[in-house]
Amino acid sequence: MKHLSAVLLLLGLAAFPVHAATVLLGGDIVSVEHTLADPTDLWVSVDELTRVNGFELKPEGACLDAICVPVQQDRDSDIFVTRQGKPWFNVTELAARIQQPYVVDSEADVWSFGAVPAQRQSFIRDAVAPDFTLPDWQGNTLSLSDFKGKKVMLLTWASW
Amino acid sequence: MKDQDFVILAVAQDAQGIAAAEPWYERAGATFVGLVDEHHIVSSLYNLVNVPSAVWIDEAGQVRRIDEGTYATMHNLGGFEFGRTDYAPMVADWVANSDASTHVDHAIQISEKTSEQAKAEPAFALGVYFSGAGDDVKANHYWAQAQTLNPDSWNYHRQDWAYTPDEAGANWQQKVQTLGDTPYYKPIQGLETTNQ
Repeated sequence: MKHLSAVLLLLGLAAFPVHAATVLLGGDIVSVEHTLADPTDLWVSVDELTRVNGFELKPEGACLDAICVPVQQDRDSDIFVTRQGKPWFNVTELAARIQQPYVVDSEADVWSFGAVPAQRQSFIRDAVAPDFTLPDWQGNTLSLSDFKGKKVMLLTWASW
Repeated sequence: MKDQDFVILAVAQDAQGIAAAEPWYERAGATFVGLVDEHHIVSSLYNLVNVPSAVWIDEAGQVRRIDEGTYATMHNLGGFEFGRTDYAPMVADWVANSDASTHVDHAIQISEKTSEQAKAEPAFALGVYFSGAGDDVKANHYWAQAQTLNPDSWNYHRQDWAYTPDEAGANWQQKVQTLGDTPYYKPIQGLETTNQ
């Protein structure tokens, strides 16, 4: 399979699923087995999109909560392509459109994404406390929203 | 302070994760909820550039006050001995009087991050990833990048220095000297001096 894809690349048929990648988002490490070969962009299978960045591809576009980025799905574009009957989505192109910052280590194929600015608006404009989910020191998972109805003082500190 | 409708979430901003935070929490007992945040998610979400910092959040999930540098040292956690003895009564007043407390910030202003500040976060996360994978060269590379992108974030500097304790003292002094008139912690509203 590896040889075949190398041959196809030589023939100029780029964007064939060849290599694995790792995505970092909000403290999660997501392994993606297949991505399209592209030196600058991260293409994942549409099935994997939600696992990779939380977005879901709907008829109206790629959506997350109240955000929906229109995506035409009946033709190839710089954000969506069909290869061998399978739809692929360009995660970095989406990031660029919604001004989501990211940094990539190309050598190790690790793509690290920051916060989606549109999801921060209620905090920036209305000082609504952003929710988060973290492990406690015994390994239980807790969210800020678990404490709704109580006053909370969030204290950050560190051992260093 | 032991009002059951008041919860303290102590969030350790620690890239060394549970292992680094555990001794502190063990000492503290169960009087508050201790969370471990090795990727600095809470600092990123709440635009905090230093530890320790405090955010007051009311019953409806509304931020009522943000303070950077709430107490100078984190010792005697179990008794909540803050570095400043005058901070705890302010918190108690808010717990008792809610929005009527004079310590609530009614005109809270939260600024949008610049694109560089925002990009520092995924760079820092890459550093944490490579540190966990045992690749210190890459970890240092991305931590340095995060520091360059957001030079105001003490969290990034101090995290990095935690890995090179021998250099930390000199780095610290050098960085403090470059601050000039910028306070190391932002002044706390309602208190007379900052807790340097």
